Amino acid sequence: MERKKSYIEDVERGIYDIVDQEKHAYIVDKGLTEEIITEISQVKNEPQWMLDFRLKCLKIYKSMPVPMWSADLSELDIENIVHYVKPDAKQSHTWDDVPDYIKNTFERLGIPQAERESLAGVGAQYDSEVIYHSMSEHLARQGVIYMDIDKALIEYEDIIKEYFMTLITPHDHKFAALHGAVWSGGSYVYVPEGVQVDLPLQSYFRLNAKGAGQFEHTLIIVEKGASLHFIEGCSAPKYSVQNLHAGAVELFIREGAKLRYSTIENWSRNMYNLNTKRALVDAHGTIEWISGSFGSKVSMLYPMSILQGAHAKSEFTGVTFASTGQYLDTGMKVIHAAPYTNSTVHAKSISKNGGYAYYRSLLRVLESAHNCKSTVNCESLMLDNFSKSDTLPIIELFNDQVDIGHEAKIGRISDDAIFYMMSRGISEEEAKAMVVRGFVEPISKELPLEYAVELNNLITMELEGTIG
Amino acid sequence: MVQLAIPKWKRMPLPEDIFASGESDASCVADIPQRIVVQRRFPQRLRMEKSLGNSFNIFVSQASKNNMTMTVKRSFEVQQAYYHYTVHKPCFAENIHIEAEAGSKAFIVIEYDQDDSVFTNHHQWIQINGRKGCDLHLMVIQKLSPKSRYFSQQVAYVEEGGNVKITTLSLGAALTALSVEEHLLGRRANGDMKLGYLLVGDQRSDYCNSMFHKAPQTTSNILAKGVLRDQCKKVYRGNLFFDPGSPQSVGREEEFATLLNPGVVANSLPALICREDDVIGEHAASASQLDQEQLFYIMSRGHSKKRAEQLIILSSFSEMMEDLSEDKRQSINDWISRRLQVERQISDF
Repeated sequence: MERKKSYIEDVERGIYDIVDQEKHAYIVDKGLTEEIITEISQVKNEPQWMLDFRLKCLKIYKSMPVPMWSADLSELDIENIVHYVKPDAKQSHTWDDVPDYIKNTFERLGIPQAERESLAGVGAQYDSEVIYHSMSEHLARQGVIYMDIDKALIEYEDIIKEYFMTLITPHDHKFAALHGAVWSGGSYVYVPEGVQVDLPLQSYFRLNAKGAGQFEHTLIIVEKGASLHFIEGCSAPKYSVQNLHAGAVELFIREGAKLRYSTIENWSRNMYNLNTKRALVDAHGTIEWISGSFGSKVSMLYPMSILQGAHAKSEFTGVTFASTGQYLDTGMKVIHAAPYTNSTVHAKSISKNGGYAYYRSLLRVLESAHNCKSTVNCESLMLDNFSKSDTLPIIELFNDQVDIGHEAKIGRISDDAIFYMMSRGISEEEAKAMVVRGFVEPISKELPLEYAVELNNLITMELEGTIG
Repeated sequence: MVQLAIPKWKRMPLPEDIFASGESDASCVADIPQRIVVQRRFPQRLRMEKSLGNSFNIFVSQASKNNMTMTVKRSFEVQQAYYHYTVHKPCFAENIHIEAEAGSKAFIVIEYDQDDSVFTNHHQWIQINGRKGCDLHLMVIQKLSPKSRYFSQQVAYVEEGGNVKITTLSLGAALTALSVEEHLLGRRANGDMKLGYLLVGDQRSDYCNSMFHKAPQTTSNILAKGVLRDQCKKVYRGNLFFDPGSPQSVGREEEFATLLNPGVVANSLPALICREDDVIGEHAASASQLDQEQLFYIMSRGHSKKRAEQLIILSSFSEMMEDLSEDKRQSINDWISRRLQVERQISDF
């Protein structure tokens, strides 16, 4: 007897796909040349060393091959991407000063409301520049710095020069080099020693320009004994041409400090999301990654924790949802470089309607990292037979005094669970959504309420459609 | 012989002379029941999987001096067929084909041994055809000298309702590259792989166990257990593939590595490749030192720490050897103990 199966159609992405009219104050030509890089640097009035660095990165970029070990990037035409788009808006500290069409976009995305209700500071980037930035006064009084990184390059040049792209170097991979060459916008956060930032800070990155790239750089330094929750959101409307996101996130967590870095990524389905994130954790420090990857055509995203101090700790909790036409290659890297370090990875992926979810991770324990512990857990849910789901967690041990555990599971929604819920009067569609929401519950419960709701909305949005 | 390119492996560099030709021979002692038909030839039409790579395939097919086809006749049951090879030349290449006819049942053991002073490049290709409803267990015991190299490709095709179990005990050789594949082609076929390895000194090993679910309601289990000591290096790949058309299949894979001292290198690459939604696939891996609670318990029974460690190590392999006779198990335990250079007498446990 043929077994009946349920399938789910693709959906509209609602508010995320609303396109604003393009109004640019400045836009560079398509492609990647020394002239364009120089032009970007001059428009931003950067110091000479930064221009030199950008040009060096361009050379490295051009010398490196396109990575072949994962997604097919052959359709990504860098020469057809606009690498810098300055919106027709100056940076302001009140939403009233932001042009209406941009403000309305962020209103739809719920950023001002979240700022009023649950955030200690917000940065909003539109295309290549940050157009809104604010932080509560009591944090400023404690010495917390939260500003866009272009501004920090002027006001805190020495610090930026000391830290910028030292954790993610242009030699790491081709798109790290690209980032070094064309970066624009992003956030700089400095939390002084002992300061506990009670409410999260959020930076939201919206890419509106058709065929453009977004290359924001986030640099966060959390000093000894301090703590911070930083939220990163990103989205873009869907176009028929390619967009590219190659941002970089460098996090420095000092002794005994704690940083939670949460991301809800909902790029449009024409986006190549080739982002790089890395955290360096000192003794007794903690990095917590919370990650939700929903959008993009192609994602290659593997946040890395380098535990360089004894008793440093890394936790990763992430969910990836791949649907029609999406190849989401996500995962996590942990380097245990000091004794008594601890890491936990809890990853979930869902694939439906031909989506391809690939979980890829690396756990490396160096010779010096004795008495370390690590637990890696990944689960994959396939919602239909057209989809693909792969899991490849790599473990490299150079030390015997370790306690390493890894588990992975793959499967589909239990028919018994659906049948049970339907017998209780719940529709098949809702029953399936409930199971999926339950599947990602370990992630959503780690997010602030508003973002957990957004995560659930995204899941519901992904699951809407015909079942039968 | 055609000059073959040396494959470039990222994690386990290969020596330049792995395809060197030379004197090739081994003496064999066999205990074969009559119900297995042995022919000194190999099928003309051979299905070649990727395994270790084309160079290895070509080399084995050209250099093989030991071509053998074993056929377990339809519906016959064989308690145990036993081959013991003593390898004493610089080269030994062999093709072994095992045909388990429908409804047959057999346990076949092939053991390789040699003097510690001998060096051999041992290349091996084993192909198993497990026909409908067969129940075959192949066990390969590799105890080559610490100078030798062992390159083995083992591939099994399992038809409807068949059950093929492949156990490999990889105990010797300076360099081992082992690829074991099972292709579950028929409904309700079952594949079972067990790998036990002992790596001491500066031994290097690259193991790959791959299970391909290609039909509905297929089931599989992969278990790898090993012990690493000194400056050895291990790469283990456990792959579970669920191809389209394999609904209601279940596959599980586990790996346990025991690390005995600093300086060992242990890489694990477990992969789940899924193209079918209605399946259950699981893998688990763990690596750690000897269990301190087990050590404490055994020592509390009056054993020295050295003896307690030895017993725990030997217990890692016991699951792999459960189908062997008591004598055989004991001789392998003795061999492992010698290799570990620890106390030999363990029977008072």
